[in-house]
Amino acid sequence: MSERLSYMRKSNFLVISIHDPAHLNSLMMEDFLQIAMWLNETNDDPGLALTVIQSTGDFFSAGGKFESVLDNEARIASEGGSAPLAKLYQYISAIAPPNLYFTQAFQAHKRPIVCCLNGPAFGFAASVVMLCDVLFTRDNSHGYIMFPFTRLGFVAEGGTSVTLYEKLGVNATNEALFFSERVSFQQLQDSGCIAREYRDCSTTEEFNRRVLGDLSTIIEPLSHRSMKLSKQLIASDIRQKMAAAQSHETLSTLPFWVDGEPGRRFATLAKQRSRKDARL
Amino acid sequence: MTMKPEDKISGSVDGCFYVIKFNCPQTLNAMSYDDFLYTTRLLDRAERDPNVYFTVLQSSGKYFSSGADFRSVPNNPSGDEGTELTRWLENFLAKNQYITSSFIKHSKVLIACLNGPAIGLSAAIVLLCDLVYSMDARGTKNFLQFPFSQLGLSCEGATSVTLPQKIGRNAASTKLFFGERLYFADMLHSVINRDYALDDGDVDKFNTQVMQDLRAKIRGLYLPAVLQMKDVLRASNDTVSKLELANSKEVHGALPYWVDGEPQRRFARLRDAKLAARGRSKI
Repeated sequence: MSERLSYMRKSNFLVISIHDPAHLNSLMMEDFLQIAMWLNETNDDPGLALTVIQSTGDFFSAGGKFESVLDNEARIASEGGSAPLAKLYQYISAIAPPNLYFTQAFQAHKRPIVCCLNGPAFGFAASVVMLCDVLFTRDNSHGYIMFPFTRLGFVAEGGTSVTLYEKLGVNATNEALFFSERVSFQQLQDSGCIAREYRDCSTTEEFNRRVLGDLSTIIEPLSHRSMKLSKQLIASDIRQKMAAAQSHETLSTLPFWVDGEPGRRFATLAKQRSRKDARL
Repeated sequence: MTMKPEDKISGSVDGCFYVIKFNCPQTLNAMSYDDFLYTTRLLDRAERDPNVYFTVLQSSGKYFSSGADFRSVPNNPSGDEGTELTRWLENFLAKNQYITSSFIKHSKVLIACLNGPAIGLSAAIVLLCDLVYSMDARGTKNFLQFPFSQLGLSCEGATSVTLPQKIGRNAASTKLFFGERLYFADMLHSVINRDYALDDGDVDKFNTQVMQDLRAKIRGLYLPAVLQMKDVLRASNDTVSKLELANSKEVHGALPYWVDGEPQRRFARLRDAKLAARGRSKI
């Protein structure tokens, strides 16, 4: 199990936690897949009513680690070489199935998924935020999510081509995705995405604790079976669209990776960051 | 004397931007079908240019575009239904569907710089744009308007899909059924991406500012990914099919009204009322 993630059963909640605040809770692709696996493994557990995703420190998650991409690039370069078919095969395996498995796990999850947004989320982690059903934020004034796909040289992933349109509206999504622009928590609030802002928590621990406490109180008198059915009915309406989106997203993004632009851009970013770290 | 489209509308390349500008503020940038068709030819140029990633619609004066030029809608029914059918198939259905389709199919990022109100098919075009920036959303001076019911027409330019989609079903209803104005202030969290809150009336300054901001926004982006992003969003949401279907239903639905002569009569009444008002103001 990854040292960055954990999960526990708290009464009838499944609580998934991200805890690597020193690295802004950035995650390897294996970590995202681990989250998806936990969602799938516990999907039919009758003792669970809600799934909650929480984090630590000031960032929800800075998204996929550069290392995840760069390790892949290095492996593909050494194993596949430059033969076009070998390269394509490697890239398809690296991108399409993980994306599909991950997004599908959220789409097929039978329990409402709550996200405790303690701070900013980037890239794939921001896609996670948009895949959740209920959002709580710690403080709307500083938080934002960002989808830097076009800055990194590829296109939408994690179901964002559907979730953002549905939740933010067409034109706002265009601005966020075409220009890799931040979407502030305030904008999420104005679009009706945020259930409640917890403005007066002094720490993320307090925020997480209070959300769990409030959720407990809210669902105590409710029929959990009813809640789950409602979730499944709403998810069912969008199921076809999400499935189609996976196909469009992964196949659209693939040529960019094979072409090498994202690899080059990630390498540049990694170099810039190590220069910055060296200077500090 | 009516000006030629190329005298009123310009198209030029500016780096990775293709800028289409409406330059007839004295007629509030009213558009005849020839003007709209000329605009689609400019869209075509942007489409075929591999260096262009963004198509920007700019305007001038107080209005973005007041829509159909009343003077270009004739009211001279032949009395023969067959003749009228052929006539309006050509002059309404084909042209209207083609113009709307041009915007629907455009693969570059479509951006509208809203200096002022837009009406009718021009307003529909604004809703077909991917990004919209407004000069001044405060007060009630600036609005989109869809006076289809007043003119004996019906939804055009795929507004039967875009307006409910972008502002919500109920809000779209009064705007489309009753022709009520949709003020910029009510589009701030939906259609308008950013309001520049400029009240000095300097449209050139607004247009220049938007271009500057766009150039800053795209720095460091991989532009081919931007175009593919538009494509993925459309594919995942089946956008083009939905819009083309609406486009087709709209023009076929309104064709009988044109054959009947009602929009022509209503345009004529508006034209007469306008002339009368102008006459009165000269006294």
